[in-house]
Amino acid sequence: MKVLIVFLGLFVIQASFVSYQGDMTRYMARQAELKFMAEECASSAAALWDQEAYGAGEIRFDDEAGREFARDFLDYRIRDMEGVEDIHLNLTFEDDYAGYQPGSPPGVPAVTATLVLVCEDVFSLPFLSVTSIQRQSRYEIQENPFV
Amino acid sequence: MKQFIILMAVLPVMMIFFLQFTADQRHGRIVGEIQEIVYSAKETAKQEGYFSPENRRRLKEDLGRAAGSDPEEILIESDDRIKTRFGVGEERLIYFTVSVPIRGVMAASPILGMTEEENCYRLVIDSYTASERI
Repeated sequence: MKVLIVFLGLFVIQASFVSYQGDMTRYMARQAELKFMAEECASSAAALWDQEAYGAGEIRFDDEAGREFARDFLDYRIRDMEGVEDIHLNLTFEDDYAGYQPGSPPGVPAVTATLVLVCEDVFSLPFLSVTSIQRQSRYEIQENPFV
Repeated sequence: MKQFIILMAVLPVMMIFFLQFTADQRHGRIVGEIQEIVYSAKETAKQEGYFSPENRRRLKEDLGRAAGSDPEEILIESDDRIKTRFGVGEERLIYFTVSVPIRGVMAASPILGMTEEENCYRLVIDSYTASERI
């Protein structure tokens, strides 16, 4: 009986560890994926400039087109993601027109994308729970093409 | 003697767990590497406006090395037309799908009655990126 109890104890611990390790691998992969998605949103939105301002020799982000691109991109990416309930996007545009955030280098146009993925619990174990993942990326235009 | 017989019965079950720990670590590393490699190739495609033959060849080689697969088994689907930054709508977007077979997900699969085909899956990355080619 003693042997059986010890065996069952070890079995439960090892099964829990295997479950944790598998879930952790998935969690890390999803974090990386979200980071890449945030980078794509920021860099692609930063490539969309207001044509009129561009013609006048100034950089002004087309924030409406940038948001539309990012939203379409996220919809495309999450359509096959398992367990995803929702994804929240926050795009912040910084240029001479919209102004610069405190702490940001002035004169350097930038787009910051923040993604919050709301999903089913990543971990199967009852004492661990992760239901949202947040990642942020910032794309700066260091070299002004008009200078 | 009884204890020894029990140990002999229990040990293989416990060994499967230890082998599975290693298999999971390997699996996690492979998935991470595949993501990095595809990301890097995507950045190159962004600059070039499409997945050039050279980029595809390098991508297949790198993925094959990372996943321990034959490069020919790796599937890359993407448009051959060059997209530009100032293209309108879809003309700016480079769609791509990369599919990589990953084997040996479960350790000791023959003991568990799994065939090699059953112990394999394809990791598919289906995405698009906006071209930055002028």
